[in-house]
Amino acid sequence: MISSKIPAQLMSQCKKCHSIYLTYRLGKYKICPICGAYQRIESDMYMSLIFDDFKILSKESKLSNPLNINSYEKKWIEAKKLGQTESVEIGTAHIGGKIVDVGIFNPSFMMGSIGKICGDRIVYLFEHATRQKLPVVMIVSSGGARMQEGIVSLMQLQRISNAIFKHSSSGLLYVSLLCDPCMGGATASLGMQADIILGEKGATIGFAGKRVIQNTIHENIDNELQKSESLVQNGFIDCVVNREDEKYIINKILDLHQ
Amino acid sequence: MRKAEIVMSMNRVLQNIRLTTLSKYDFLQLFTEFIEFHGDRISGDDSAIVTGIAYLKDMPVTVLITNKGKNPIEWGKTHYGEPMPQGYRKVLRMAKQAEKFHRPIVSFINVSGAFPGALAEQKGQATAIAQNLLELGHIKVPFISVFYGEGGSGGALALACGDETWMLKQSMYTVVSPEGFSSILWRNKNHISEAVDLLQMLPDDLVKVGVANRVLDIDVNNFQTRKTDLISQLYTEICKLKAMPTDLLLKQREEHYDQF
Repeated sequence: MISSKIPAQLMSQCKKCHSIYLTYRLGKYKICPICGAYQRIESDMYMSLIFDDFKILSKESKLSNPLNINSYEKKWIEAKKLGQTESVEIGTAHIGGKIVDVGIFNPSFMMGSIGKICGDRIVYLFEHATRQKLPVVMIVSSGGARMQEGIVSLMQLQRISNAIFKHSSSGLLYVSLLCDPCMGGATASLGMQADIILGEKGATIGFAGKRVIQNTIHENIDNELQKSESLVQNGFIDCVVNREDEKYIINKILDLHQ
Repeated sequence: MRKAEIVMSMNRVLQNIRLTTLSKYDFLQLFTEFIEFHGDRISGDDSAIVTGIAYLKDMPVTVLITNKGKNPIEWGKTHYGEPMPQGYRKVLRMAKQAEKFHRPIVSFINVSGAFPGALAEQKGQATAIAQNLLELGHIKVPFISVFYGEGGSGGALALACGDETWMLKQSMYTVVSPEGFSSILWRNKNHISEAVDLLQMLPDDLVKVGVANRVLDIDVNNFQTRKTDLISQLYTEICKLKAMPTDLLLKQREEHYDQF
């Protein structure tokens, strides 16, 4: 009887330090009150944290299941029940009075992996931005290509790269913000192809995952190696930003490109 | 040790593909007067990818060949033919050189994937591949890729994002290894044969879905006799692509990927 009265979201657990606390203590930016780690957040949260308004461009799309795998279709339908329409949401947003095309990943939707629908959306976003002469901001947090779609998902990476190339050669700005986790084909395509690449504080960004490295070449890699803070030192991203400052920095960058 | 593990766990089809004895020495026979060029001009050289210029019949071309090596010492040097970031950067440098001098590019690919390791991460594996997809995919000269063994994920795409993708009959091109696919779908590695069937990673399937353009009836046994045929197929196709205006060439290349 008692348990039924406790709201499901009352308590939360930190992904990093595993402390348990009352959810409201995470605050607006979803930061662990104990260790300060950023909790993963979905596209709808980023929309309100960074942008003044957000008009969704994504259309409802049907799953393409090129390898005809039943368990994939089931998993996809399950994932949709949690509220997100796919692993990325695209739209046109305002920030500080400027218009910008935005794509935001949902890391909880099948690891934010890039399949056919996701590829379609991102390509559409860049083509739309090229036509409308708008800058693009991508907030990337994805595990890479969606393995369940086979080679089709790999081809999406090239399609996306082609769309980015066209946008870029029209002289337009592309800013990417890499959030936890940004791995595999996501980093090795749209993540690292931006004019300005921002890394969220503490985010894991890399190509091969820790477990893959461990399984294939039996090497244990240092946890810190794939953090934003290391990538900035090694020269692969422009700067590390705190979640609280993202709105301010993205706004400033767009201002400087007016 | 890794080689032994692989042999034990895989099925016949995979064995033939993974243990192919075709190597850079075979494919260099297609060309004359090959000169190897090294280094990415930034951080080093990578022996997992051999690059250089040569004649294909009477036509100067830029040649890119991935190289696993033939014995344990060479496997070590080339880290099983899995390229490091400097390998991908070398490829991009060579491609830009080819573009400047209007030389077509031919690549021969046998990579299980980009090298996964701490050093590769530190030197920017993701960035190197991302740049290749972006710039190599728009290189303004004809670019043909031939798979002669494994083709694994982004590490292979970063060498094959050109006009034509050809497959030798014993080769594969996939986003994930059958072992990896098996653990995703069944949570163990015992369903490798089913994974091979499901993944559509073999030449005939790839042609059917449109990823590959042709299957070449060439393997390690008949390579010597079919060599001249491969030369003339490459030559004819390159001439055809060369005759196209650049914007049409790039448009056709984009349309190829847009069908997915």
